[in-house]
Amino acid sequence: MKKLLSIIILILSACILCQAQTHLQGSQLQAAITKINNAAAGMKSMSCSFVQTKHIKLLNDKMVSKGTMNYKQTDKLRWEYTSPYKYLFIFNGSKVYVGNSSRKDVIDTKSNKVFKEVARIMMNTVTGKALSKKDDFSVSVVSTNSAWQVTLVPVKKDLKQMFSKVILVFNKANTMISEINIYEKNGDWSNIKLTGVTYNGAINEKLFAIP
Amino acid sequence: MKNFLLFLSLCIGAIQFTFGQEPTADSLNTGPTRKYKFELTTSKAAISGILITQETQNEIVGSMINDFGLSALEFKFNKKTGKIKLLNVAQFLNKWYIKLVLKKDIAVCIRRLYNLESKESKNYIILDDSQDLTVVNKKRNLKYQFSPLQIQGKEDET
Repeated sequence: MKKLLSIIILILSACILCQAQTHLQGSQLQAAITKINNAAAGMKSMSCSFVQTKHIKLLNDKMVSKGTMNYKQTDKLRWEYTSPYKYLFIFNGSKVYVGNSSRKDVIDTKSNKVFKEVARIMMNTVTGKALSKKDDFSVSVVSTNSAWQVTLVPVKKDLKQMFSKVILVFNKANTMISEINIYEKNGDWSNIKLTGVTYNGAINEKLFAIP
Repeated sequence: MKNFLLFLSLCIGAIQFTFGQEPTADSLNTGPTRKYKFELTTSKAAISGILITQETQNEIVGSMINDFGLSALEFKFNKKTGKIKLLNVAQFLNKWYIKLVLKKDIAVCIRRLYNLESKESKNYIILDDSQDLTVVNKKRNLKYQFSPLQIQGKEDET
Protein backbone atom coordinates (compact mmCIF):
# COMPACT_ATOMS: atom_id res chain seq x y z
CA MET A 1 0.00 0.00 0.00
CA LYS A 2 2.78 2.41 0.98
CA LYS A 3 4.66 1.62 -2.23
CA LEU A 4 1.59 2.23 -4.38
CA LEU A 5 0.92 5.58 -2.74
CA SER A 6 4.55 6.62 -3.16
CA ILE A 7 4.38 5.76 -6.86
CA ILE A 8 1.18 7.78 -7.28
CA ILE A 9 2.75 10.82 -5.63
CA LEU A 10 5.87 10.50 -7.79
CA ILE A 11 3.79 10.31 -10.96
CA LEU A 12 1.72 13.33 -9.93
CA SER A 13 4.86 15.30 -9.14
CA ALA A 14 6.41 14.35 -12.48
CA CYS A 15 3.26 15.48 -14.29
CA ILE A 16 3.33 18.81 -12.50
CA LEU A 17 7.01 19.32 -13.38
CA CYS A 18 6.42 18.39 -17.04
CA GLN A 19 3.68 20.98 -17.34
CA ALA A 20 5.70 23.64 -15.57
CA GLN A 21 5.26 26.93 -17.34
CA THR A 22 7.06 30.19 -16.83
CA HIS A 23 5.63 33.50 -17.90
CA LEU A 24 8.64 35.33 -19.28
CA GLN A 25 9.24 38.94 -18.41
CA GLY A 26 11.92 41.57 -18.83
CA SER A 27 15.21 40.37 -20.28
CA GLN A 28 14.06 36.73 -20.51
CA LEU A 29 11.07 37.78 -22.60
CA GLN A 30 13.24 39.89 -24.86
CA ALA A 31 15.78 37.08 -25.23
CA ALA A 32 13.09 34.63 -26.33
CA ILE A 33 11.61 37.12 -28.81
CA THR A 34 15.06 37.90 -30.19
CA LYS A 35 15.81 34.21 -30.71
CA ILE A 36 12.52 33.68 -32.54
CA ASN A 37 12.99 36.83 -34.61
CA ASN A 38 16.52 35.78 -35.62
CA ALA A 39 15.24 32.38 -36.70
CA ALA A 40 12.44 34.02 -38.68
CA ALA A 41 14.85 36.41 -40.39
CA GLY A 42 17.03 33.49 -41.45
CA MET A 43 14.09 31.58 -42.91
CA LYS A 44 14.28 31.87 -46.68
CA SER A 45 11.60 29.30 -47.38
CA MET A 46 9.26 26.92 -45.60
CA SER A 47 7.08 24.03 -46.69
CA CYS A 48 4.77 21.87 -44.65
CA SER A 49 1.51 20.03 -44.41
CA PHE A 50 -1.07 21.03 -41.85
CA VAL A 51 -4.13 19.69 -40.08
CA GLN A 52 -6.63 22.32 -38.98
CA THR A 53 -9.23 21.46 -36.34
CA LYS A 54 -11.92 24.06 -35.82
CA HIS A 55 -13.84 23.72 -32.54
CA ILE A 56 -17.34 25.18 -32.86
CA LYS A 57 -18.67 26.16 -29.47
CA LEU A 58 -22.31 26.64 -30.44
CA LEU A 59 -22.59 23.17 -31.89
CA ASN A 60 -20.14 21.47 -29.54
CA ASP A 61 -18.61 19.99 -32.68
CA LYS A 62 -15.47 20.26 -34.76
CA MET A 63 -14.43 20.53 -38.37
CA VAL A 64 -11.16 18.99 -39.55
CA SER A 65 -9.44 20.12 -42.74
CA LYS A 66 -6.03 19.37 -44.21
CA GLY A 67 -3.69 21.09 -46.58
CA THR A 68 -0.24 22.32 -47.46
CA MET A 69 1.64 25.58 -47.02
CA ASN A 70 4.59 27.03 -48.89
CA TYR A 71 6.42 30.25 -48.09
CA LYS A 72 9.29 31.99 -49.81
CA GLN A 73 11.02 35.11 -48.59
CA THR A 74 9.99 37.87 -48.71
CA ASP A 75 6.46 37.95 -50.00
CA LYS A 76 5.34 34.65 -51.46
CA LEU A 77 2.79 32.48 -49.73
CA ARG A 78 0.70 29.54 -50.89
CA TRP A 79 -1.94 28.17 -48.51
CA GLU A 80 -3.93 25.27 -49.93
CA TYR A 81 -6.75 23.21 -48.45
CA THR A 82 -6.92 19.74 -49.98
CA SER A 83 -9.40 17.92 -47.76
CA PRO A 84 -12.37 17.75 -47.32
CA TYR A 85 -12.65 20.65 -49.77
CA LYS A 86 -10.35 22.34 -52.25
CA TYR A 87 -9.41 25.97 -51.64
CA LEU A 88 -6.30 27.79 -52.74
CA PHE A 89 -4.82 31.11 -51.58
CA ILE A 90 -1.70 32.49 -53.29
CA PHE A 91 0.07 35.74 -52.55
CA ASN A 92 3.02 36.61 -54.74
CA GLY A 93 3.73 40.18 -53.73
CA SER A 94 1.57 42.01 -56.24
CA LYS A 95 -1.43 39.76 -56.65
CA VAL A 96 -3.66 37.58 -54.51
CA TYR A 97 -5.41 34.54 -55.93
CA VAL A 98 -8.32 32.82 -54.17
CA GLY A 99 -10.06 29.91 -55.79
CA ASN A 100 -12.06 26.78 -55.30
CA SER A 101 -13.57 24.22 -57.64
CA SER A 102 -16.24 26.62 -58.88
CA ARG A 103 -14.84 30.13 -58.59
CA LYS A 104 -11.55 31.96 -59.01
CA ASP A 105 -10.64 35.54 -58.21
CA VAL A 106 -7.43 37.47 -58.75
CA ILE A 107 -6.98 40.66 -56.76
CA ASP A 108 -4.37 43.32 -57.39
CA THR A 109 -2.94 44.21 -53.97
CA LYS A 110 -2.10 47.73 -55.11
CA SER A 111 -5.78 48.51 -55.42
CA ASN A 112 -7.01 46.29 -52.61
CA LYS A 113 -4.96 46.79 -49.49
CA VAL A 114 -7.17 44.55 -47.35
CA PHE A 115 -5.98 41.41 -49.09
CA LYS A 116 -2.40 42.58 -48.96
CA GLU A 117 -2.76 43.12 -45.22
CA VAL A 118 -4.34 39.68 -44.72
CA ALA A 119 -1.50 38.04 -46.65
CA ARG A 120 1.12 40.00 -44.73
CA ILE A 121 -0.30 38.94 -41.39
CA MET A 122 -0.56 35.31 -42.50
CA MET A 123 3.10 35.31 -43.55
CA ASN A 124 4.25 37.04 -40.40
CA THR A 125 2.32 34.54 -38.29
CA VAL A 126 3.69 31.36 -39.87
CA THR A 127 7.26 32.68 -39.93
CA GLY A 128 7.21 34.20 -36.45
CA LYS A 129 7.86 37.72 -37.65
CA ALA A 130 4.57 38.79 -36.05
CA LEU A 131 6.35 38.99 -32.69
CA SER A 132 8.19 42.11 -33.74
CA LYS A 133 5.17 43.83 -35.28
CA LYS A 134 4.05 45.86 -32.31
CA ASP A 135 1.60 47.80 -34.44
CA ASP A 136 -0.28 44.57 -35.07
CA PHE A 137 -0.05 42.65 -31.78
CA SER A 138 0.84 42.83 -28.12
CA VAL A 139 3.07 39.88 -27.25
CA SER A 140 3.47 37.65 -24.20
CA VAL A 141 5.49 34.45 -23.91
CA VAL A 142 5.18 31.37 -21.74
CA SER A 143 8.15 29.01 -21.62
CA THR A 144 7.73 25.27 -21.11
CA ASN A 145 10.39 22.56 -21.18
CA SER A 146 10.20 22.08 -24.93
CA ALA A 147 8.48 25.13 -26.35
CA TRP A 148 7.68 28.81 -26.26
CA GLN A 149 3.99 29.61 -26.33
CA VAL A 150 3.62 33.08 -27.76
CA THR A 151 0.29 34.85 -27.29
CA LEU A 152 -0.51 37.57 -29.80
CA VAL A 153 -3.38 39.89 -28.97
CA PRO A 154 -4.46 42.11 -31.87
CA VAL A 155 -4.08 45.84 -31.42
CA LYS A 156 -5.85 47.12 -34.52
CA LYS A 157 -9.64 47.29 -34.63
CA ASP A 158 -10.07 45.26 -37.85
CA LEU A 159 -7.92 42.42 -36.54
CA LYS A 160 -9.72 42.49 -33.18
CA GLN A 161 -12.96 41.87 -35.02
CA MET A 162 -11.54 38.73 -36.63
CA PHE A 163 -10.07 37.07 -33.58
CA SER A 164 -9.41 37.71 -29.90
CA LYS A 165 -5.95 36.15 -29.75
CA VAL A 166 -3.53 33.85 -31.54
CA ILE A 167 -1.18 31.48 -29.72
CA LEU A 168 1.90 30.33 -31.62
CA VAL A 169 3.90 27.38 -30.35
CA PHE A 170 7.61 27.43 -31.20
CA ASN A 171 9.73 24.34 -30.80
CA LYS A 172 12.77 25.25 -28.70
CA ALA A 173 14.92 22.65 -30.46
CA ASN A 174 14.87 24.52 -33.77
CA THR A 175 13.11 27.81 -32.85
CA MET A 176 10.47 27.11 -35.49
CA ILE A 177 6.71 27.21 -35.33
CA SER A 178 4.89 23.92 -34.80
CA GLU A 179 1.34 25.00 -33.95
CA ILE A 180 -1.02 27.91 -34.43
CA ASN A 181 -4.11 28.38 -32.25
CA ILE A 182 -6.66 31.00 -33.25
CA TYR A 183 -9.31 32.12 -30.77
CA GLU A 184 -12.41 33.89 -32.04
CA LYS A 185 -14.75 36.23 -30.24
CA ASN A 186 -17.68 33.81 -30.43
CA GLY A 187 -15.82 31.16 -28.45
CA ASP A 188 -14.70 29.12 -31.45
CA TRP A 189 -11.05 28.21 -31.71
CA SER A 190 -8.90 26.55 -34.34
CA ASN A 191 -5.77 24.47 -33.87
CA ILE A 192 -3.39 24.21 -36.84
CA LYS A 193 -0.67 21.59 -36.47
CA LEU A 194 2.22 21.86 -38.90
CA THR A 195 3.82 18.58 -39.96
CA GLY A 196 6.62 17.53 -42.30
CA VAL A 197 8.15 20.98 -42.03
CA THR A 198 11.19 21.75 -44.19
CA TYR A 199 13.13 25.01 -44.01
CA ASN A 200 15.28 26.78 -46.57
CA GLY A 201 14.78 24.07 -49.16
CA ALA A 202 14.24 24.63 -52.86
CA ILE A 203 10.66 25.52 -53.72
CA ASN A 204 9.31 25.44 -57.25
CA GLU A 205 8.43 29.00 -58.25
CA LYS A 206 5.44 27.64 -60.15
CA LEU A 207 3.71 27.08 -56.82
CA PHE A 208 3.36 30.84 -56.46
CA ALA A 209 2.30 31.52 -60.03
CA ILE A 210 -1.22 32.85 -60.42
CA PRO A 211 -3.29 30.16 -62.20
CA MET B 1 0.74 10.38 5.76
CA LYS B 2 -2.95 9.48 5.55
CA ASN B 3 -3.99 13.09 6.19
CA PHE B 4 -1.60 14.33 3.48
CA LEU B 5 -3.02 11.87 0.93
CA LEU B 6 -6.58 12.81 1.86
CA PHE B 7 -5.67 16.51 1.38
CA LEU B 8 -4.11 15.69 -2.02
CA SER B 9 -7.22 13.81 -3.11
CA LEU B 10 -9.43 16.73 -2.08
CA CYS B 11 -7.24 19.12 -4.07
CA ILE B 12 -7.46 16.99 -7.19
CA GLY B 13 -11.20 16.62 -6.74
CA ALA B 14 -11.60 20.39 -6.33
CA ILE B 15 -9.64 21.05 -9.52
CA GLN B 16 -11.79 18.59 -11.49
CA PHE B 17 -14.96 20.18 -10.10
CA THR B 18 -13.78 23.68 -10.98
CA PHE B 19 -12.85 22.86 -14.55
CA GLY B 20 -15.56 20.30 -15.16
CA GLN B 21 -17.91 21.27 -17.95
CA GLU B 22 -21.45 21.90 -16.87
CA PRO B 23 -24.04 21.13 -19.48
CA THR B 24 -24.86 24.28 -21.42
CA ALA B 25 -27.66 24.98 -23.80
CA ASP B 26 -25.12 24.52 -26.61
CA SER B 27 -24.06 21.06 -25.52
CA LEU B 28 -27.68 19.91 -25.48
CA ASN B 29 -27.75 20.04 -29.31
CA THR B 30 -27.37 16.32 -29.85
CA GLY B 31 -29.00 16.00 -33.28
CA PRO B 32 -27.14 14.64 -36.28
CA THR B 33 -24.59 17.04 -37.76
CA ARG B 34 -24.70 18.00 -41.43
CA LYS B 35 -21.91 19.71 -43.36
CA TYR B 36 -22.30 21.52 -46.66
CA LYS B 37 -19.98 23.41 -48.93
CA PHE B 38 -21.68 26.74 -49.53
CA GLU B 39 -21.20 29.72 -51.79
CA LEU B 40 -23.02 33.03 -51.58
CA THR B 41 -22.68 35.04 -54.77
CA THR B 42 -23.65 38.62 -55.44
CA SER B 43 -23.21 40.63 -58.60
CA LYS B 44 -19.88 41.96 -57.27
CA ALA B 45 -18.45 39.38 -54.92
CA ALA B 46 -18.71 35.90 -53.45
CA ILE B 47 -18.29 34.29 -50.06
CA SER B 48 -17.59 30.59 -49.78
CA GLY B 49 -17.10 28.22 -46.90
CA ILE B 50 -18.75 25.49 -44.89
CA LEU B 51 -22.21 25.35 -43.35
CA ILE B 52 -22.52 23.04 -40.34
CA THR B 53 -25.94 22.34 -38.87
CA GLN B 54 -27.47 20.33 -36.07
CA GLU B 55 -31.14 19.51 -35.65
CA THR B 56 -32.94 19.13 -32.35
CA GLN B 57 -36.61 18.63 -31.60
CA ASN B 58 -37.44 22.33 -31.77
CA GLU B 59 -34.72 24.00 -33.77
CA ILE B 60 -31.92 23.81 -36.28
CA VAL B 61 -28.69 25.40 -35.17
CA GLY B 62 -26.02 26.33 -37.67
CA SER B 63 -22.62 27.88 -38.16
CA MET B 64 -21.30 29.30 -41.41
CA ILE B 65 -17.51 29.47 -41.55
CA ASN B 66 -15.28 30.71 -44.36
CA ASP B 67 -12.72 28.59 -46.17
CA PHE B 68 -10.03 29.58 -43.69
CA GLY B 69 -12.19 28.33 -40.82
CA LEU B 70 -13.16 31.73 -39.44
CA SER B 71 -16.79 32.14 -38.39
CA ALA B 72 -18.99 34.30 -40.62
CA LEU B 73 -22.25 33.90 -38.73
CA GLU B 74 -24.28 31.53 -36.58
CA PHE B 75 -28.02 31.04 -36.37
CA LYS B 76 -30.88 29.28 -34.63
CA PHE B 77 -33.93 28.38 -36.72
CA ASN B 78 -37.14 27.62 -34.85
CA LYS B 79 -38.94 24.82 -36.66
CA LYS B 80 -42.35 25.68 -35.19
CA THR B 81 -42.40 29.41 -35.80
CA GLY B 82 -40.16 29.40 -38.88
CA LYS B 83 -38.25 32.31 -37.39
CA ILE B 84 -34.50 32.58 -37.43
CA LYS B 85 -32.16 34.34 -35.04
CA LEU B 86 -28.71 35.39 -36.21
CA LEU B 87 -25.84 35.14 -33.72
CA ASN B 88 -22.21 36.28 -33.72
CA VAL B 89 -22.34 37.90 -37.14
CA ALA B 90 -18.96 38.88 -38.61
CA GLN B 91 -18.33 42.61 -38.82
CA PHE B 92 -18.52 42.87 -42.60
CA LEU B 93 -22.05 41.34 -42.50
CA ASN B 94 -23.20 43.05 -39.33
CA LYS B 95 -25.36 45.78 -40.88
CA TRP B 96 -29.08 45.83 -40.16
CA TYR B 97 -30.07 45.83 -43.84
CA ILE B 98 -27.75 42.91 -44.63
CA LYS B 99 -28.97 40.88 -41.65
CA LEU B 100 -32.59 41.52 -42.63
CA VAL B 101 -32.00 39.92 -46.01
CA LEU B 102 -29.80 37.11 -44.65
CA LYS B 103 -32.41 36.09 -42.09
CA LYS B 104 -35.09 35.61 -44.73
CA ASP B 105 -32.78 33.93 -47.21
CA ILE B 106 -31.13 31.54 -44.75
CA ALA B 107 -34.56 30.54 -43.44
CA VAL B 108 -35.58 29.62 -47.00
CA CYS B 109 -32.37 27.63 -47.45
CA ILE B 110 -32.75 25.74 -44.16
CA ARG B 111 -36.35 24.85 -44.87
CA ARG B 112 -35.28 23.39 -48.20
CA LEU B 113 -32.24 21.57 -46.85
CA TYR B 114 -34.36 19.95 -44.15
CA ASN B 115 -37.48 19.40 -46.29
CA LEU B 116 -39.64 21.52 -44.02
CA GLU B 117 -43.01 22.72 -45.26
CA SER B 118 -42.96 26.22 -46.61
CA LYS B 119 -44.54 28.57 -49.07
CA GLU B 120 -41.76 30.55 -50.62
CA SER B 121 -42.50 33.92 -52.11
CA LYS B 122 -42.14 34.60 -55.80
CA ASN B 123 -38.93 36.45 -54.95
CA TYR B 124 -37.09 33.14 -54.88
CA ILE B 125 -35.95 30.69 -57.53
CA ILE B 126 -35.15 27.29 -56.06
CA LEU B 127 -33.23 24.54 -57.83
CA ASP B 128 -33.16 21.40 -55.73
CA ASP B 129 -31.83 18.09 -56.96
CA SER B 130 -31.07 15.12 -54.75
CA GLN B 131 -27.64 16.46 -53.84
CA ASP B 132 -27.26 20.18 -54.42
CA LEU B 133 -29.44 23.14 -53.57
CA THR B 134 -29.49 26.56 -55.22
CA VAL B 135 -31.62 29.38 -53.85
CA VAL B 136 -31.77 32.68 -55.69
CA ASN B 137 -33.14 35.87 -54.17
CA LYS B 138 -34.30 37.55 -57.38
CA LYS B 139 -34.96 40.92 -55.79
CA ARG B 140 -31.46 41.24 -54.27
CA ASN B 141 -29.63 39.21 -56.91
CA LEU B 142 -28.17 36.86 -54.31
CA LYS B 143 -27.43 33.22 -55.06
CA TYR B 144 -26.91 30.59 -52.35
CA GLN B 145 -25.46 27.23 -53.36
CA PHE B 146 -25.09 24.22 -51.08
CA SER B 147 -23.56 20.82 -51.76
CA PRO B 148 -23.01 18.08 -49.19
CA LEU B 149 -19.43 17.95 -48.00
CA GLN B 150 -17.86 14.58 -48.68
CA ILE B 151 -15.90 13.62 -45.59
CA GLN B 152 -13.37 10.90 -46.41
CA GLY B 153 -12.79 8.52 -43.55
CA LYS B 154 -13.21 9.48 -39.92
CA GLU B 155 -12.68 13.05 -38.89
CA ASP B 156 -10.05 13.15 -36.25
CA GLU B 157 -7.09 15.14 -35.16
CA THR B 158 -3.63 13.83 -35.94
